[in-house]
Amino acid sequence: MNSPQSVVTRSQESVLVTNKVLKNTYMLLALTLLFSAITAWISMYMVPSRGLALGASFIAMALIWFVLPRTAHSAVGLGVVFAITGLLGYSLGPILSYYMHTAQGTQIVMTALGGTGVIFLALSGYVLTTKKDFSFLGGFLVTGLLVILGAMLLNLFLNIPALSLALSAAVIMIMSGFILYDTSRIVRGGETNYIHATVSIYLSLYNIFTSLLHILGIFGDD
Amino acid sequence: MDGSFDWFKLAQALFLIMMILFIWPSAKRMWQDSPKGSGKDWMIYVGLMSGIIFFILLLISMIRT
Repeated sequence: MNSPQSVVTRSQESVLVTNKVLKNTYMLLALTLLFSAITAWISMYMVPSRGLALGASFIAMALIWFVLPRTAHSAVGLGVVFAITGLLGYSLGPILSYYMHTAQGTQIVMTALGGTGVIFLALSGYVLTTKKDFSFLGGFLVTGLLVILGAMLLNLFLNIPALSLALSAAVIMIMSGFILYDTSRIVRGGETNYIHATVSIYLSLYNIFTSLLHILGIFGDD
Repeated sequence: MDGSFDWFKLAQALFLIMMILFIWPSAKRMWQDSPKGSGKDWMIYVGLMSGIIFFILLLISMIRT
């Protein structure tokens, strides 16, 4: 039987591990966001074709699916995370360049950026202060994500602007849910790998930013 | 409609199909493993999402003024 001291020691160890994962995740997230901003800025001035930007997203997704699971527990994983976030930042070039050339472009991009930051800080701040368990959202969020991807596929051929707008709003809701879910997993010890945690939160922020940009771009355009 | 645009659309469709296929196994695992949330849990989620919606509406009104 466990003595009270060993239970207390184990609990303290678990808290220390959780704090370490949280600290490493936020540090790596900050660095990858900075790196992503640099590649996005480079891409904005290089203005790659939409095909090249989509190709960068394809490679980033391939790295997430095939390379990251094999490298996430080693130092190589750090390089893979930077490659993924760099490529995703680069893929933003054409869309950012498009908005920057519109009348309210700079304001729209900066508002989307600030809005994404506020959403992230508010949601992660809520989980960090309340320590609430959001694991119940898992099934709902993944179902929502599959429905959104299916609807996006359909809208590629239907081209309904209202559906496109509704999908952007739905992406923000689902990705906000994923921020709650991922942060709660880290806080409660369900996620012990900071590389996986960083990529998950980065993808949520990336999708919130692009969707917010889309919504503000539509409403900001007179 | 020019041909290159069709190829781009096709590539986008392929990208989305690949995402659905790759997410599917994790989705099945999450459906099985996710605990059920109580009414209070869902109310907290709805409350937070309402806050996000209100915030987005605020951003839209800022852009339009």
